Amino acid sequence: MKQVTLLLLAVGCLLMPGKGRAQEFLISGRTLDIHGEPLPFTTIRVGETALGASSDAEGNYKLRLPAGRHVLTATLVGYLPATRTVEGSGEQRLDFVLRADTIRLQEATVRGKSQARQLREGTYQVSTLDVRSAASRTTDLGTLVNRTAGVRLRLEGGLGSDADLSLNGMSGNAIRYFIDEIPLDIQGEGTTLTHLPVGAIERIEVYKGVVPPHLGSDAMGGAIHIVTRKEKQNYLDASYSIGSFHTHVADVNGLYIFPRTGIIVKPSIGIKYSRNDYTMRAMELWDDAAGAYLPRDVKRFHDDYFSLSAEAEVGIEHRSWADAFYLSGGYHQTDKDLQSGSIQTIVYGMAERQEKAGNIAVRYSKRDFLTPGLGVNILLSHTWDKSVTIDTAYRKYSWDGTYIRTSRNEITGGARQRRHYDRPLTIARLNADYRIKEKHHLNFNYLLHRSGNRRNDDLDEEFVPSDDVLAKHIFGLSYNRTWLDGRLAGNLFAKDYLNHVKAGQKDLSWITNSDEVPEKTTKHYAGYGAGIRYAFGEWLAVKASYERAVRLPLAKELLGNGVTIYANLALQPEKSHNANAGIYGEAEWNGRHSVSYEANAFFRKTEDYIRAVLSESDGTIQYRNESDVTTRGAEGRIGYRYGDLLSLSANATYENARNMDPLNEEGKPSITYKNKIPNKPWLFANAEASLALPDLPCRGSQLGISYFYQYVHWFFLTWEGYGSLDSKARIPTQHLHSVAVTYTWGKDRYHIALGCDNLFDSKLYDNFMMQKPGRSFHCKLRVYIHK
Amino acid sequence: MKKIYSFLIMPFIGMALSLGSCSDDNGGNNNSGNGGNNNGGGQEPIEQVHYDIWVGLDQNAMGRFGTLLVKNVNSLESRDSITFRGEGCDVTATFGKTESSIIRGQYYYAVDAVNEDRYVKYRIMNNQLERVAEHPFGENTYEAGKYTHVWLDDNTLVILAANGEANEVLWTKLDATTMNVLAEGNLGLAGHEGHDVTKFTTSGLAAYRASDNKIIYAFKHNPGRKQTAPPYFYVAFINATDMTVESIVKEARAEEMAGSAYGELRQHKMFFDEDENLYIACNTKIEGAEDNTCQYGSLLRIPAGKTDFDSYQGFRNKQGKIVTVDYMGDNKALLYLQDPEHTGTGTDNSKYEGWGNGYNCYYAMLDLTTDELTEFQYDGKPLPFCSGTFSQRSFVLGNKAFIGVNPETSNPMVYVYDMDAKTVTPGISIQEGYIFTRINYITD
Repeated sequence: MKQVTLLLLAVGCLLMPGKGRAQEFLISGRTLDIHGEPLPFTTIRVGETALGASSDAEGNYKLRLPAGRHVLTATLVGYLPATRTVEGSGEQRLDFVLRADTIRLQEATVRGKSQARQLREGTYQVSTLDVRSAASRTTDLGTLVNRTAGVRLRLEGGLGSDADLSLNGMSGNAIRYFIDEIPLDIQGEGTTLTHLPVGAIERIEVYKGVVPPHLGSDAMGGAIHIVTRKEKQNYLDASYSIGSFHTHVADVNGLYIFPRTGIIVKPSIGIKYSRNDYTMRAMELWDDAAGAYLPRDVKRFHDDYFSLSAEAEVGIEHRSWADAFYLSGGYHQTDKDLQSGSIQTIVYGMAERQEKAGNIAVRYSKRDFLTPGLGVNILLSHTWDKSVTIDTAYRKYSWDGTYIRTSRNEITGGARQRRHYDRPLTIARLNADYRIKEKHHLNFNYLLHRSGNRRNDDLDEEFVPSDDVLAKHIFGLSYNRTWLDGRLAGNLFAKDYLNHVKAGQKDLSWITNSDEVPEKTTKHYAGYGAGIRYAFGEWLAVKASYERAVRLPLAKELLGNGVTIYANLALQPEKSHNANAGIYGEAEWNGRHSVSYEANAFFRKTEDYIRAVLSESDGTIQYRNESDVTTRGAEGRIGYRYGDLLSLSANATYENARNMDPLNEEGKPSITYKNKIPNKPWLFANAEASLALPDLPCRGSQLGISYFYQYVHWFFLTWEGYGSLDSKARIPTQHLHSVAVTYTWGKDRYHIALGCDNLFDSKLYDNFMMQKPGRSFHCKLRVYIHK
Repeated sequence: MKKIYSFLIMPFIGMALSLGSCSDDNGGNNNSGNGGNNNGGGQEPIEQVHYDIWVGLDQNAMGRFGTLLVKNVNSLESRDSITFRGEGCDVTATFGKTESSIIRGQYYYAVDAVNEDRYVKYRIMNNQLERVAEHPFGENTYEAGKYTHVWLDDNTLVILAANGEANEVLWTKLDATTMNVLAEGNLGLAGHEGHDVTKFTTSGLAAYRASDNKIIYAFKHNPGRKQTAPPYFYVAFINATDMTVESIVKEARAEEMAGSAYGELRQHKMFFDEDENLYIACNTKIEGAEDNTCQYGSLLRIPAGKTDFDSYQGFRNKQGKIVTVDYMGDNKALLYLQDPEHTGTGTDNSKYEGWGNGYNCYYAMLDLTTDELTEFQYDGKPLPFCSGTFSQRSFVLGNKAFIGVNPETSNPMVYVYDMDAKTVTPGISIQEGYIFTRINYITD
């Protein structure tokens, strides 16, 4: 390949007109790490122009430049950018040495045109988490995301527990998850951030409020976009961590390029296991002698969690007919014991949930497809997703693990259940990006998301099987351009949502409105938005974005579940006005000190909010369009770096979510109109300090020390202002301190990290009466071999 | 999972209520509690009680209240308007899942919805909810809010409910002072002759007839939501001492008793008169109706000392569905009725339209002798129509009936009907916007 490139360059030089050659000069060199190892596929950019090149697999590059002075910046994910100035004429050699960005803060505050910065300089409100630089010390992506401004992840317990993520005031179904621009559902509906192997992830982009059209989503409150590693060199990255509560996490991922054929194989496997047997403090247990319930510290005894995530991609790149063509397959499995109900006082000892999902996919991408400037990205996938909830024990457990035999199951109090859910999912995506000129480009995205939902129960004769189908077609078109040498950037976008429902049910038409809609319906809804950013300089830029967002109803919301949820075929999508405005910038002096900052304000107004409404007559549920919730808030982040030695950062978020529905369930004036939404964190903050000591104790090694602090202000379980204060339940303030020490040696090959979470063993809650783990320790070993 | 544990380790091993004091004025039965038959019908001296007003601020999908508040007031007859802003006891964490409870004397009794493993006795005083006594389940377990109950005496509480598979009915006797389990078992209905039930209703309805020491337990077949239930129900007569089922009778004049899943934990569904005749509120699907919820009500009677219904049928004109009943004395009953035709939310009660959660309920007095139904009026106009078919906003105390209304266009309010003077006067009102769910009285 190298020879071919050189030959092409040589031929190109020969064919160039003489005039051109006279005004240009050739520059070549290598991109290397600090140990002299080549860094392949490093991007070299020329100032703010579109000129640039990539180094090849051996780290070599060549670049022809107009005569004159140029500032060249080499960037590679996981490394700090390196900038060199060249002035010139004649052939010159210029090597770039990039330093591994092991000190980088969790929330990207990097210098140079890193991916994080490029995203930040876009018009969307987005935070980028560099997972790779934190891979040595992190075992769970959820922990990383939870340290981002505006994000709050509420956990019900330890590893693998149910979690609810909120983004700038929106949460639950309003947030969508993607992996490499594809809905994360591809790995099974139960797959969450926690399940994914950390080692296989490059970064996470957290879009707040406005979601780019290329993600092809009906997300309304934001999106989490997980980007897997994209490096193109042979490597093997393996890690294992052991931690408190019998926690073991192992990740192995790698890449191998067959030299003869150029076929690329990218396997990835992640395994997590935890017994989650952390201590529950002051749990009430009956004491026969005392004739009373007495508080006792006990260990969780039925909270085992196991997950296996295996993916493999096989394909080729850089062919005449394809920039990339990959076939992939995956298998994902989760086994989880269920320890408690919605509050920790309800104890289970036998119930469990299992999920197995397999998927296959093919993806293709090509630049200059059919015509110069047109890039396409195509994906087709199918997922077989089956899960079962097993609740067959007639037992009532206490926190000490003892039980009494009963005549009812643990979860619902009914008969034995072994309930199966079969959710086949087909996804197709086409993304076309057309660069009209250097400063304009159009992007078109189409996403098909077709899901089935079949349910049955092996044991419960009461359960009526059901079979639903829901297909969404989401179209997005965006136009982006820059002005004033890139200082001003803007985009406009529009989305169209086609919602196709096939519902055979015709019974209970007066409840389900099935007589008002045909058996097959296809409706479309429109969304739109815009964003703008203006940079006064490195030190100050302002940006704003707005989206009229639409969220289509989920299958269960529209079609019911055949048992406890009535269908509502007339259900309308939720709509929201999402607006963001912010400033950001950074300053650097003496070549060593740098400060970066970011501050944003956001506004969300949701209409036709889809809310579950209880039918008083029989306790069933139906989803209806009702209330109106408005959230206003602000978040800020500031960071300081002293060279590669020290970094400090802090962020804080304030959210003011209020009920703006003037009517309550009975259609009367709502007593909580304009009141703050309860049971929701509204003030939280994070701080982080990292110290990186190079060449300690020996040359080529590095010792890193990190400290994290998280604060969540207490909040009421119920509407504040009603009922006497001393009778109101609260979720108490959280102070979470964590430390980590990382040692890297052997030319960045070997890593060992020791960490302690919840350093002061505080009693922590995200949800009312759901204790989180106390102090825990973990040790992570990582080997990264690359060529 | 242990295999998995080993699997993970191997590749890396080289790398490094004190007693209530209700009187027993109901013609010799001991079912009296605060405000109905099993929860009520008590006749405390009105000077020795205060009142609890329950309101919600919102209610989520599973019927749980996002915020549920209780406020103690000394009088319901004052013309005060009350608010819960900064006042009242927030009981959401305890009763938010289900506000169901057994009310007697000074206390609330319940299968604990917080832990679901015990019986608890509560008191709500001075804006505080206090656990007075609690005791773990014995062998029988119950779901919070899904059982029925009777009082055998002031200190013996019996609860009953179907088991998880609904193929048998469980019972437990509790010491109401300590909440200890005194005895427990099942009724043996599964193997009993005289009925064809294979899946029992979740709770059924129970009453205790003191004169012959019998628990009268109404039940029926529960085929599930999507299948048609048989148009009849059964009543078992149970020896309250040893809990043996002595006889079972079938009643086909009505389709079902008015309560089958939640007993009388939230609403009053039957009552004894002064002569110990037991009246059971029943409902029947209107012929040709669109949905099972389109029903008309009736009152059926089991005479004192008898083990079968007599021919009496009250509320014969099919003028609505009975939601709650309270005995007022003097052969009169206070009915809370859901009736779309009458309230104008529908034009035909056999059509589902109008039966939703609109303002389609009203209060009326039924003369059990003449079957005359008289809608309560104030100032020459009927009391406002109400919403809320899970609410219990009425009770009878002394010579007064307290009737809480939840109107569409004005403040919730309690009206007081003086049975001697036969007058209705407005009492306490609540700021508009609260979900007014319950009033009851509590012994001071």
